[in-house]
Amino acid sequence: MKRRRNSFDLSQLLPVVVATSFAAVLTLLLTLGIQRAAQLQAASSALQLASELRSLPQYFGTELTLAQRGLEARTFVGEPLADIATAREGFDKALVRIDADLEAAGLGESADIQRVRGALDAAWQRFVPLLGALGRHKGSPYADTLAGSRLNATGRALKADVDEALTAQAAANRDVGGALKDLAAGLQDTVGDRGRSLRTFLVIGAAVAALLLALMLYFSLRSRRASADARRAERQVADILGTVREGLFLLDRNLSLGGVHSASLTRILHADIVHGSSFEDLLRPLVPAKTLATAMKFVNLLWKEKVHEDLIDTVNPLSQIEARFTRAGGGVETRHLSFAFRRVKSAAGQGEHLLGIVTDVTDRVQISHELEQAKAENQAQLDLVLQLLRVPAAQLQSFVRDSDMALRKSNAVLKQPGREEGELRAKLNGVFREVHTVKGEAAALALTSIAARVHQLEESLVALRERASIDGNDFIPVVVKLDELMSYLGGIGQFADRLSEVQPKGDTLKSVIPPLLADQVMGAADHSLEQLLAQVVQETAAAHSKRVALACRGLEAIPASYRKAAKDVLIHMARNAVVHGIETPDRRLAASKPETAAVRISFEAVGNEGFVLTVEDDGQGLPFEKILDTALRKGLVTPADAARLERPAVYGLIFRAGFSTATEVTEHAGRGVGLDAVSQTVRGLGGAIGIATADGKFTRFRMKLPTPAGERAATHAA
Amino acid sequence: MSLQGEIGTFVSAVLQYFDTAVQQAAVVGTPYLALGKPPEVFDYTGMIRVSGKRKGVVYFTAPKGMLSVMLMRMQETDMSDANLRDLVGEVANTLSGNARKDFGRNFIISTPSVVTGSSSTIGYSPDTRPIVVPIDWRTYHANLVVCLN
Repeated sequence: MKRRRNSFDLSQLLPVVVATSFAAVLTLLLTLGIQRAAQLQAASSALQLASELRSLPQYFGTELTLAQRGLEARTFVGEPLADIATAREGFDKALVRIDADLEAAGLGESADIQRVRGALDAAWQRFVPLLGALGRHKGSPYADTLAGSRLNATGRALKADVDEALTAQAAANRDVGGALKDLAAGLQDTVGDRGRSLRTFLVIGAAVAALLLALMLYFSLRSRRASADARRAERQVADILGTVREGLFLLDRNLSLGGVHSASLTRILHADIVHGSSFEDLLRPLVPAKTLATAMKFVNLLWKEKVHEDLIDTVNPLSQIEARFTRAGGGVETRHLSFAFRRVKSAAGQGEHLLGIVTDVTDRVQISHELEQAKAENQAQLDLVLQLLRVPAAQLQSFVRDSDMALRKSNAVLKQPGREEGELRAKLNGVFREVHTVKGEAAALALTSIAARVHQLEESLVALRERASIDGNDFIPVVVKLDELMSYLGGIGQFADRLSEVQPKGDTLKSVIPPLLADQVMGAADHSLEQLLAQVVQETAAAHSKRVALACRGLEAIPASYRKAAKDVLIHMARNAVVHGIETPDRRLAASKPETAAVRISFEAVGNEGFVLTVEDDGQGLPFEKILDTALRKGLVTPADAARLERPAVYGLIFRAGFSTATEVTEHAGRGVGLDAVSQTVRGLGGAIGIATADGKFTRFRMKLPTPAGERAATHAA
Repeated sequence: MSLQGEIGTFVSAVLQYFDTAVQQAAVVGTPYLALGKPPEVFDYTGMIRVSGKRKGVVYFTAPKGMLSVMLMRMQETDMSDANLRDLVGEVANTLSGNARKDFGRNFIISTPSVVTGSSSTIGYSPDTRPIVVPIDWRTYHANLVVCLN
């Protein structure tokens, strides 16, 4: 792996290394070339000077001859002497320049040149004192006499020096000229060498430059090809990112979003993705604060090398989340999203990024829910059939009819024209009372599947009741559930009708159902109201871990026109007595009461005035303070009213809609609907309810009912 | 999407139409089930038929007076039968558009159609109970009826 990485690096650096090397070589060649050119120039200059100086000994001879003849002819010799002095200085300067040029040409150490140069210097030094002596003579060289001009002492000395110089000139001409000739020849060779050397450098430099150009062209072509490949790869990546349905994105160690992401990400998250923005900010609108905090911890864990990403994937809090998005046209859309994360490692195995993959799994979740629902419905259907088989067909038909009536009443309540908040809440309570009655009777018949369905409808009603304000739109879930419940009960009605066809009258089901199923419907029996109430009491007591004995008296005398109402009322009251009135066995024993509580229900005629339906328990009595506290908390009474209220008025509060002292909502109590329904039913019959209670001893509800109109007429006729 | 959500979409579509086109909000009454007899049909009814995951019909039915005042609010002076039909058709078109947008490929929504006359009958499956959503606007009363199984 390491080798591969080096190879990769070298291939990347190769153009730079080669170009740099070639540039260095070229620079070196050029530097040497420039140096050679300078040397060549200096050598040429020295050669030129040497060549020029070769004529000077001859020139000295000419000027000396002119001076000699001038002295002999007694003419003016100042000019040739001045020329000789000037030429001598020029020669000296030229020698200095030649030395400088030789040094510059790199010949300062050349033995041949130095030898020739030494010879030149020696020859010149032999001759130059003679020339220098000519300048020592000052004044005119002539003395004028009547016989004409003749040399004076200065003239004679000058003449002697000129003669001597002229005599030496021939040797100087030979020696200095020869030395200059040798020097020129040596320099000529050097110039030739330097010229060839320079040409060689230039040729090599040109070759290196051409090679460098060729290499640069090669690398440029290769780079263009690589760029084209990179662009093609980039296009392909863009095509993938634009096509893939999953939302793909990268996170760095700061959990900031990378600059590249799939097009689907924006669509799935309904958000603009900004490079460098925080993943936490992106997630914040989608999940609750607690989930967000857990998610960030989880994502941070993925950076730890020791953590196995496949293993911790099982605790990914974002593996399936429910996100709500506001639709462009209004409303809220719920989608199910799944986030997954993978480490993105470099070639060296180091974690560089996290790849985030977000998928819209709404369809999958819905199908899964539907499958689970179908499975649950199948099970529920089976449970329901077993429950239905326990109930005699006639009683089942009666229940379905009563329930259908109650649901139609609920629908009629909804259909009423009220639109104001108060009217809507009154509708809500009206529907609640009706469906609660259905639930009560379903529970009394041990039709728990039906009771659970009604309970779901009640949940919708409770959700509405707890809202600060409601409008008609909020009733859509209620009416949809009402529709579902009617369909459900319609199916049960059909079942009951079919059952009544196969079930012999007065017989139990055991004779008409298979033996195995018969075992499960052992309890099937004729349900009189007393039996029904006994079942309600026992099931409610069992659910609340209480022991209760029910005693009924006179229920068979309930007039036919009151039976339905009495049944609804008594189911509520009996359940209420067990849930709220009766204490647990421990508390009863602690209060020196029998472990098994007593609930007594009686119906009796009161002369011609009507009837009294009584429900009494020997439980803890009505909790005055608790009722008052609950009423205050729910805003049913003001603190000022509470201070003035008499006990009977406080007890009367328990019949108000939504009132319940229960701290927990169960299928048996807690909605605050039962006693409201009882009150409505009794008042609907023209009756009244009285309460008697003693703390820790008993509670008694006496419901006075008038004689039904039909029976009054019959009595009068008699 | 649940039936509850689908009804919500249709209700939102109607309210949105009143908010944007008529520029005066309508109020939703408490929805109820049409039991025993078909829901009331007013003078003009715009409807869409739905098939696919659910089957049935959704319609907006309104009296002529209400539609005429709606047209006035929209600066229209032509109160002809054709224009009233167009208006109720537009509401149905909004129902169709929102349904297409929200329900996805599991639903097939027909092109809107319009029927006139309060004695018209709207065909729907006898197995379904139409859900009637009262729509109140000013002093007028219309119904959105959702009948899907």
